[in-house]
Amino acid sequence: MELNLEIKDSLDKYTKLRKEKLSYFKNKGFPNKREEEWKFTDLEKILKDNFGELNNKKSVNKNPNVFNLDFKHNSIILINGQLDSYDFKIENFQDKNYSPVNKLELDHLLNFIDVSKENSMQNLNTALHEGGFRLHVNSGYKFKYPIIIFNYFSGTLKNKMINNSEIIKMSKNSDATLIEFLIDSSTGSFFKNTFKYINIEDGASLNYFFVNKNKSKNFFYDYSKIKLSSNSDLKKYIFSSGIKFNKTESNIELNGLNSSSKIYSGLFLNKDNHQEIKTNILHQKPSCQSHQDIKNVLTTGSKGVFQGKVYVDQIAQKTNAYQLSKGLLLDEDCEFSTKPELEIYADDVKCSHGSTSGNIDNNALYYLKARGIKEKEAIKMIVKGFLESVLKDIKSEDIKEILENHLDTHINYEIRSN
Amino acid sequence: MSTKVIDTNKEYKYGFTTDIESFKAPKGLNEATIKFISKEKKEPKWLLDWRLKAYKRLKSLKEPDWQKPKYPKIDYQDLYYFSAPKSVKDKPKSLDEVDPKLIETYKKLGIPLDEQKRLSGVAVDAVFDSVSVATTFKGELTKKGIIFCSISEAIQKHPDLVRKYLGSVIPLTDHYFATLNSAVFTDGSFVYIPPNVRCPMELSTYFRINASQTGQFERTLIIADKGSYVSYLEGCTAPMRDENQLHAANVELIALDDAEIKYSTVQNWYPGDEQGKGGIYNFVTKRGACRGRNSKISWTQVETGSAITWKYPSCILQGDNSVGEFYSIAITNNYQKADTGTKMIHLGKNTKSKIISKGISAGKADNTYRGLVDINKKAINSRNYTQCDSLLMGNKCGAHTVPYIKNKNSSSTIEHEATTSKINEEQLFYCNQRGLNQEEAVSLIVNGFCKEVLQQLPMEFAVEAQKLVSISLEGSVG
Repeated sequence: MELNLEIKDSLDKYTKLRKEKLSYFKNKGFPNKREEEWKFTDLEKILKDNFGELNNKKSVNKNPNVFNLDFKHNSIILINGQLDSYDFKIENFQDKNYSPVNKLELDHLLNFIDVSKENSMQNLNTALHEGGFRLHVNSGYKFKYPIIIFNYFSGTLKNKMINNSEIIKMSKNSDATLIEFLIDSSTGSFFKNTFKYINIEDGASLNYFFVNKNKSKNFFYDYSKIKLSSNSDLKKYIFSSGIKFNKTESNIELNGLNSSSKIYSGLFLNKDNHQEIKTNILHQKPSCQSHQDIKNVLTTGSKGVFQGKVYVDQIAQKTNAYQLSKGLLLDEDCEFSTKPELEIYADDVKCSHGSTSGNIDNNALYYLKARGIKEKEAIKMIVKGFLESVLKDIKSEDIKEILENHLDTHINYEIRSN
Repeated sequence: MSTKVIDTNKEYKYGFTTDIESFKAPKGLNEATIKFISKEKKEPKWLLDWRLKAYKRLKSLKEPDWQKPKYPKIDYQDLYYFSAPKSVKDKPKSLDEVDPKLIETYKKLGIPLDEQKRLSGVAVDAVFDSVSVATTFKGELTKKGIIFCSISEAIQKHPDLVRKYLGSVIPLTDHYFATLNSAVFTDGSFVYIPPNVRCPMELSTYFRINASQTGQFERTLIIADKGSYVSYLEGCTAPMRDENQLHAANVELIALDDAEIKYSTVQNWYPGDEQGKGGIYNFVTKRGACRGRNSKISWTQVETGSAITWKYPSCILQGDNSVGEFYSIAITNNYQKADTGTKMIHLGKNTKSKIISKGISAGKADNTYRGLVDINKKAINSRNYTQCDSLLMGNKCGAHTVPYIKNKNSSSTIEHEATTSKINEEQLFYCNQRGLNQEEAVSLIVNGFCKEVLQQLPMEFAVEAQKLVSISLEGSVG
């Protein structure tokens, strides 16, 4: 695979840093399976097998077909990874000058850059950073309507590498729901490498949803570092069925008392799909909670990976950490690999994990068939029940509907065509 | 829970050494040492070549560093690789000719070497440092065609069997410590059970590290031919020593069609003192191959000793319908570190595996379960069940679980669960109420926690193991 990565001297004042980071990246290359973090997902090989070349040439943004939602919402529009526009009129802020969204430049990111030379993906992201957005929620402000991030990809993005980022600050006692919609109508394959930094201050609460609208034959790596302070709360939902390659990595630091983090995911993977969810939950203060519920349904040739780690510091007594990963393997040739890891240094804790994988329970199938339901329908029902179990905590009916439709589309399409 | 410390001065019960003049090879790891060992043991040329091949390979390998417990660098050139009690050179014809001091050591260890002990039904192949001194119960076993002897003897008397199976489960090229063992192994046990024979007694070996600065490199090879059954016990105690001692054994098990091997270990090497000084490094490679259809290999281990325990008794389930089992209790106290678990590699159809692991950490110790369950594409209708529970005592210790789970076919099922918690206070209170003191209560609860594994041990071991569980945790109740 040829890498045509270039940093123009005239780009910005960080050329020197960018070039340095690029050289670190070039030294080490893309991560491969010899690295523990990438054990089940050999990115180097996957990219090599799918790309003859990768470059960072500027893409020509073509206006995408706009996708409408039938409920009230705020919006942030990204085209090919860059901030295009945003609209918060519906919120009707009291302070007319308040604008929660900013365009993101590299200097905003510098606080978050890892000094080590080891993290290839971060080096790459810094070196070739093209923008993104910054969301700042004022303290005490509770958003009335969800914020939809329309993440459009359009035009020709052949062999393109997109490096962008997001910074979200939830100030004290604020509250917001974000839904990231991936809408890919581009031609040619691209690889996107995104870094997200989310800071949730005392008493704040954030719900973050990721859903993709349609199928995508592209390659996504999404890294989030999320810090939570006292009494804060995070819920993250990942619904990326239909994407050819996706690795979502969440590093969550529970840095304040009574903070809580929940991650849910329901994926339906088929054919050459390869998706990984990786979590690293650090319990650094007492009385925090974490919950992870990951469900994968796999059909022909797909591969699902879950690597989840819970770390409990010596002082983090009264921790409650739970993790569940389940894989339903419907066909031959699919693969489900998990590594549910616990690293615990405090004794007064309740930590557990469970992981199962296998085919549909024959008794359940028999039960439904005995009641006159055709086999295909019965399988659909079971699969639907299996995946939708992760939606039960969602309060908003609108959002629930979006996710249910998303799952239904994949289930109906795949099980019909089998 | 109160943090009262009870009797922290519990010392290592088996800390004694015997003064016997040891006959040693020169220090250092090199071709000359390997040739010396081979010559001393009158080995055939093929074995020497095999050892040298391993040594050649070793030179290209790096010591692994991915494991959790880190240890100070070992100077392999500063170790003795061969040491035999000198008095053995003249080959004792009977027990009377054996050095009385050796006999005394065995007595302290409770090895049933003499006639009275025969009634207990345990045949013993005792390894004192590196050379097998005496083997009992030969007659009874010979009648059934069972071969149970030291591996050195087997190399002389049954070269075909050894040559066929040695290194067939743990290849020469495996990993650093396994390869090191292949190059310099000195002695160990050899067991062959002929077809359709059920071994009438539990076979047992007591290992004991004695001479100072002697790395022990045992090699055990157990072959259960078609339709046979054997239960093998391995138990270790080691004398009090200050410097760290390396123990890198290789154990290979082979089960052919319809055969079953049950391998039980109670490991109580010297764990180092309360400050974490000294203690044995126990870097062992144990692997069993279920070659035949319907074969079964079952590992049971109680790991309470060693400064660092690092071992993963594994099963390669090649034969259709074969079964692999792993039952483990790992107890770490003070500064002990254990990184242990298993690998279950499912290759044959309808293969089943079961993993029950109980980890208990106290003091400043670290306990890690690390395991792999890999169900291959062709291993249809396979099944695995894994349960690993950890118990933490005090807030200075750690308990970790690192399972790797791979399912590559849709007709197989894997279930895995793990929990970590401390001793339930209500249970403690209940016991206290009924007049048990804190220590007795903890011992009772921990024994209950480990029950599923203790039940798997043969009678002879179960009693000892239960005591060990209690002894290991003395002084850690908080």
